Amino acid sequence: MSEVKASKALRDGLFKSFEDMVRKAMAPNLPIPQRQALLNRAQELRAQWVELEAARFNSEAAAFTAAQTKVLEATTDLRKATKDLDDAVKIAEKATKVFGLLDKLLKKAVKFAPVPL
Amino acid sequence: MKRAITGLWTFLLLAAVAACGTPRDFTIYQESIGEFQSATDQTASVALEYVESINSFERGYELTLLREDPDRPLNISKLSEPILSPQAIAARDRTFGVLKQYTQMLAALAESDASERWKAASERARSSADALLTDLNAESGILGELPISDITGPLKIISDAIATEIINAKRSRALDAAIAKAAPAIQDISGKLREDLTFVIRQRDSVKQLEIAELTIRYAEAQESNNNSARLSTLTKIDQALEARTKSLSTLQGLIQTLDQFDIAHDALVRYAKSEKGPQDLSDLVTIVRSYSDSAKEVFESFQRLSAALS
Repeated sequence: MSEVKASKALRDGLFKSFEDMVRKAMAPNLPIPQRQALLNRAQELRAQWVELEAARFNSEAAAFTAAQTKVLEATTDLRKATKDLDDAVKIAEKATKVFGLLDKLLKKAVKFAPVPL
Repeated sequence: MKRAITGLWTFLLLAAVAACGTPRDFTIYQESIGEFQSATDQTASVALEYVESINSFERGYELTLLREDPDRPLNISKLSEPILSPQAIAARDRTFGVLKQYTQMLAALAESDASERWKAASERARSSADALLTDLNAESGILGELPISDITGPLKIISDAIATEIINAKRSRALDAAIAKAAPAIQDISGKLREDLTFVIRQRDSVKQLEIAELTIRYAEAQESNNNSARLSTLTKIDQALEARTKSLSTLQGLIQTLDQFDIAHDALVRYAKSEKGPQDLSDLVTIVRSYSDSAKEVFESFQRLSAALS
């Protein structure tokens, strides 16, 4: 794995040179040995370009992690907001139980209340 | 007296609705968030498959070159050492996971049935309260003379409507805040993923270009040696290689375009979050998200067709 990190312009420039070389290797007016030599050179350029791209890919792990942290924070906020809404609904659900319990208590209180003389 | 109370509550209801800033049609907004989430899911899964296969593709290409060229020196590290580190691939894997989690939470909050559950719970609470009031009325002479249930009925209906609006407004504010908070990081991630996908496109296409160039040389050799059958057979191979290149490029470039549309759709969500949330704002959001969703579906299906053809 290569440790060299090249700029985007350099990587793009290298890839463009590769494409130019491939185009020349396909030129029907050139002698076959020259075309084969251009094709071989294009293969070498491709290998160098792949190395530079791989170096960029490998070096960006930290930058990805930093961006992920920010998105995770927003995700945590969303999770909390969802929970807050659930809590609000639970209040209504608890109110149902309270009313029901009060009703039961009242009925029991009436049942056991002393009979007026 | 009753008319005055009802009038007051109606006024409070209108004031609360006006103050909430709820989207005019929350259902359409919910649907748009849902579409955004599933489109991102599809885009992420296709992109991750491509990124994860960079190593195996490069190794496979080296093996092809060794098989085709008997004089090619065997550099064992090209076969034994992957060009991309496992840590770097894991970072992309995690990033796609985080993006998925983020859009899933957006969708979960947007689709939360809190307001419906509130209505159901509130309905049950009202029934229990009514039962309690009936019993109180029956047992208490004083309470029995008060028109309590006449008042609580309409008040509860109005308070349900307010509660639903408050829940939707609270939810809308949370969505807006999260979208705005995540926006710069999402842009950053999307830019980096675009570079990764450009790498994938060029990696694949460069091999196709070399293959076609090689075939044109074989064609010239067949012409020079007057070998007509070899010439025709090479011509067929050139035709097939050109067609395969066009198909492969179309899927890969479609993926980049979908990533562009992801950016546009996310920007539209941010813009909508900051807007007055009028009908035109919502209509703009729906159009953009739908276009992203269609594009993501197309790329996903095209990728599946391509994978099936290769397997």
